[in-house]
Amino acid sequence: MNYFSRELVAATTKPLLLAILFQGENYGYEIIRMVHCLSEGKLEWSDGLIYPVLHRLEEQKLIKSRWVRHENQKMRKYYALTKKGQAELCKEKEQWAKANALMQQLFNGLPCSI
Amino acid sequence: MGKSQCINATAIQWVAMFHLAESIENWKKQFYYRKGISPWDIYELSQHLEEEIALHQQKGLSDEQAFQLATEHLGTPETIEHEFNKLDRSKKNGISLAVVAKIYFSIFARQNYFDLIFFSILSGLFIIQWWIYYHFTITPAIEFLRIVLFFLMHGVIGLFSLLALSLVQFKKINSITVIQRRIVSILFFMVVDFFIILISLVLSIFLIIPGVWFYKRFFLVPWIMLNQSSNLVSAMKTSYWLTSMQTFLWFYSLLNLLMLAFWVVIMHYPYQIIYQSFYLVFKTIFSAIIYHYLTVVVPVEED
Repeated sequence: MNYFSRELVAATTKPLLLAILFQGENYGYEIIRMVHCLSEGKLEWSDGLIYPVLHRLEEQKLIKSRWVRHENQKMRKYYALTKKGQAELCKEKEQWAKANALMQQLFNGLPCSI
Repeated sequence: MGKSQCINATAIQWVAMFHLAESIENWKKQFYYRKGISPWDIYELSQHLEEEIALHQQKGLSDEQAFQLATEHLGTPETIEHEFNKLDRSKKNGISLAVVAKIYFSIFARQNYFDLIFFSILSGLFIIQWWIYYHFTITPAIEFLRIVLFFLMHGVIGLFSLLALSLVQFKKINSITVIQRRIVSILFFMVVDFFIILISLVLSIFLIIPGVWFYKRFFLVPWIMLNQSSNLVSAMKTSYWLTSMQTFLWFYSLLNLLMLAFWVVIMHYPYQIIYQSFYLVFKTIFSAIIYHYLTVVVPVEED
């Protein structure tokens, strides 16, 4: 059972991926592990669905990829943020900050406990 | 008693491991021919699956449990296909000519003199053939000599194929034993290559599209057999699968067949020797590069 709603997961996917890749290049499996770890298991992605999203971001030139061959001769595709991606991340950060401030303001005083 | 237990344990482990590898292969097969999913997407997904399985195995789960959990996490092939279908891959659905040219120049710029030596041998053989043709009356002995030279030239083309493959895979041929070990493979390569071309050409005589399609789908068969030591059926399956998403290969195949048809037209003219050499070298180099592109992926960087 996912802690977050499906819509919220979908909306956060792009900024999450860009923010993770801002920390350095990474590959699909490790990105999912990072998200799982950072959200303490509350944000669950269907693993296979991250790749179409990564490919879409690549098409939009927000990230770039390269294949790296490892000692066991297997290949792994690494993704990294582009300059356009960095700019997009800044935009996302600004938007999320504004949305968050607005929500905080509206939610303030609601009789719910977290 | 203890010894037999060890043997049994090893046997059970072997069966389980074999089963896991087979299950992964079967899982991958579910993605073949799905719209919008390229062979490299399947490769990427299968790498993910293997890492997830390894993680579960480390936690102490059995191979089967680890596989079940990992496949569940990845999602069903239908869902993944649905998401991949949303991508606009019209621009990326194939190799661009610029990419092929880039690989070609990057390969030959970094190599030693192997390519020059082979080009020189090949050119030398052509010149000898040319010289014989013009300076001697054609007698049975001269004709025999020309046939010998012709076969020698094709032997060089075979070696050139091996060299081209080594070049595109960034491997060095450091000793003659490498070539000696591969002589039979080279001969087999030439035979299979010849038949693929022949079938494509015969099909094209009746209808151009099936001919081009056949060449597009199966021109990699000799390369796969040479490099992966596969049997013919398995190489045909692999070639069919690898070339499924590449629209660029329609043009490559058409170009090849047109060049081949032109060769047939001018076969009785003396300058066909030059054209033949050009065609074979062109075909060899570009097929090797495309094979490399489709099986190893560019750009490849060592860790």
